[in-house]
Amino acid sequence: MDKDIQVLIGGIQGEGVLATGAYYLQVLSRMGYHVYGKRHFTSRIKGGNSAMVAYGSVEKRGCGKDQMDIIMALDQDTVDIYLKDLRPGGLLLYDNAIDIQYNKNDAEKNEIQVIDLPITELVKEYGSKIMKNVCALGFLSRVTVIKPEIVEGVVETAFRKKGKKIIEENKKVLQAAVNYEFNSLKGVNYLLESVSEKDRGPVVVGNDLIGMGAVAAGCRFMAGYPITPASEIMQYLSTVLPRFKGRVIQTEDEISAINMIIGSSYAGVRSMTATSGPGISLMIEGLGLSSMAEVPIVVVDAQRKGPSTGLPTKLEQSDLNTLYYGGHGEFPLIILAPATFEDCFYDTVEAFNLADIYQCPVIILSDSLRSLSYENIDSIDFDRIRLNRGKIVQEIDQNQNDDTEPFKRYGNLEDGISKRVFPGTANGLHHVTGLEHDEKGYPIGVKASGEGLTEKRMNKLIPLEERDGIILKTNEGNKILFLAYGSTFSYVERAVKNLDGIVDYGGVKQIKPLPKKQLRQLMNDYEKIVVVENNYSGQLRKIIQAELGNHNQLESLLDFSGEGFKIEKIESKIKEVT
Amino acid sequence: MAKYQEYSNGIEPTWCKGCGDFSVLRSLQIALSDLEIPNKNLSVVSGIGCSGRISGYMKSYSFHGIHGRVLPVAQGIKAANPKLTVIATGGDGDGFAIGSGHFIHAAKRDMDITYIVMDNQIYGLTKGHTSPISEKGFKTSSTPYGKEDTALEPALLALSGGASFVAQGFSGYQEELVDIIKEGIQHKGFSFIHIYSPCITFNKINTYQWYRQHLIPLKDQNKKHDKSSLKEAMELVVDKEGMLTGLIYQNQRKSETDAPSLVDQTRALSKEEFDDLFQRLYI
Repeated sequence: MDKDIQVLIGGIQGEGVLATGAYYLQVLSRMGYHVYGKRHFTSRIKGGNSAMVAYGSVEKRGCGKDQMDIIMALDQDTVDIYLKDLRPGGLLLYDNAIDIQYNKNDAEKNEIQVIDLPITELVKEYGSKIMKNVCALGFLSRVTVIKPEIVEGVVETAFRKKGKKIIEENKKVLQAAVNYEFNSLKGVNYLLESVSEKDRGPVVVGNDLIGMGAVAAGCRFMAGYPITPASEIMQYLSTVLPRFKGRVIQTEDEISAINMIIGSSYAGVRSMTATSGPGISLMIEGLGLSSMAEVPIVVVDAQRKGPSTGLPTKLEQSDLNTLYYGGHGEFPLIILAPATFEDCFYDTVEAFNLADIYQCPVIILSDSLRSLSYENIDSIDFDRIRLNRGKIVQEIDQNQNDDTEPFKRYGNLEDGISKRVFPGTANGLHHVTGLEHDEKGYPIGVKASGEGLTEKRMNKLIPLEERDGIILKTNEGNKILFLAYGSTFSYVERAVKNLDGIVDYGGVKQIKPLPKKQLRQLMNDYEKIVVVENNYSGQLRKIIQAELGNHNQLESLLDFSGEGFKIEKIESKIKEVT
Repeated sequence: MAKYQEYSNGIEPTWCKGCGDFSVLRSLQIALSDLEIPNKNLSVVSGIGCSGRISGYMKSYSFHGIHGRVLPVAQGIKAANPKLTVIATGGDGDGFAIGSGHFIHAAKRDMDITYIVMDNQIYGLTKGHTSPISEKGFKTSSTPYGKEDTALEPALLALSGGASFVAQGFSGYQEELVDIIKEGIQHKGFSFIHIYSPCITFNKINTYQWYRQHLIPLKDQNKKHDKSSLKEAMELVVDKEGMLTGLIYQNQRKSETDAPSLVDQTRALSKEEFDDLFQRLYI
């Protein structure tokens, strides 16, 4: 049996509940647990309810579970919104500075233990108001009986840049909470012991790994505009890139961001931007330019609930149609979708390689859960990092081209992939344009066919249709396959495992070009394929149907609540179709 | 072959005979030639419009982007490789309508690029629609009863945005044009060069003759203003309603040319660098 614990910490936004959750995850990580943290927040700085779900398990999961074992409430809203998610026999902790209201009959029926804690009181006595999060962490540790030295260690690391005095003050508050004598706790029902001597690594969000992947891939320029839930990528790179002589520019808007990285990539530096739905809408014309001019760029789309401003802090996977079919005219691009936390790193490295090799935009299609969920990471395999910059010409011999004629930037119509040369290189002068052009990069004349280089561009990605772009988890004899992409993959995985693997499942990691060869095989191998997505219309399912047919074999399981799937909902579907 | 022709790729421009942009193209080529900028280190970026075709006639690393986005592309190129001489070019619609947001922010960012706008106060390529620089009451196919709003003043916009070099020219005054383009390229920072470049086909009001009558060359003025004073520069533009040629403002702030090329930094990490990056992931 997989030992696990799930805690929800909620309070008024700005009170540090996210920090409490993140510290608690780091504590669990030091005890050898795999962790997962999910933020619930609103688009405001202070006020409104904010909550974090912190989950720890012995087996690596990539998601939490539907119900909470413990709820720590620092405000009434937390009780109102989340008490229904507390499992029978669970624990409701609250700050006794607030007079919380709840249905006592229901709580009794569900055998819920309710315990008041002097959080505000202890903070007043031993520290200052801003230490409420550390005090809450202390109580959580006290209740789950975690060795105080582990918690202290995490607090020391977290506040290491703030100086000794701050660390000592926080430790005092922590100790007051850890040593607090409960008079109403019935037995110790949440005993957590270390499951490994090994620290399971830092706790970060997916966006951090995307940022780190970019640095490892040699990306040295990022232009971006702040937007939830993508901003952490710019924040990470703003901190790290200067150390590697790179640069980040926060632009005036997303249109500027994408055009700026087209300029920098044209000049030779690996470049990226990161945004979400509204920003993607603004960037579409730039994607067309990148594709037409064959200038490689990497664009992260951390999808959120749309359309328009939608629900900025909620989940949806609904930008796929726009990106798959996107923009005016027809142009090639690549869409990769990291399915797991680690994929955020490795797929980012791959995105830069594919962009350079195929000289087109590569979208890293993330979503708010894939981008903002916390997990811990043991290690990243340094040896898996390979850089491939494609066909770049460093030097051009004068005998080959002496600038009386421009360098044939769009030559080689065989595989459609031309040689690139960067400004500053002798004998490589050429023209680049978003107009339809010839092999020299000049706009096609009135006498030329309007087809121009359309076929060269469109056909160069065909080889990618042969790749295995779907990761598969199979058991012999299963006739039904569940497919998902992005953060939804882990939720499907959990549901399937809970039901002892009675269906197979997979994650679509390369969405465009669609891995047609592999999909055709899957159509042969399975009676039914259920595509699980967080959107209203079943976008990925419809794309597969449009490209491959097989309409009767495919069906959708959808959720557009903005909260992501309940694992139970996927389990019901599995039971229904088997 | 004249030396400036080394900057021409020999392609005949698609512009109408007599278009002001011919003079701008020639002036740019002469300026580059006088400054002996190596072709390989020259990147000319342009937007969309008649004038946007200028990059297609230059012997350089030329980039013809999308409408209104010349400045983001040019700044990206310069950020990547500061050793390049980057010339951004475009028309009044490209720069002051669809691209106006980028304009003030590029001015504020003050990267070492030169932005040359060929302003004919009309949309020529779309066959005669009103421009933000068209005067109030100006009749075009999109304003048949006369333009309702007043003209935008690009020099004021640039000055208030924080441009460190603001100059104006006229296609009819080529000698002066060559000089200010040279000064603009040599200036370390964002150089804005606003050039009145007549459209002989669609603008029957703002003609060569009209500009000659209305423009005041600063070099002919007896009273010289302090070119390093933002206040005096602004007052001058307001007083003369923008009808000036010559250097209006210059405030040398910094040099970016010594900045490292990001292109050379695109590389794999060493194991040590990678391990350090991983360790720093801890809260």
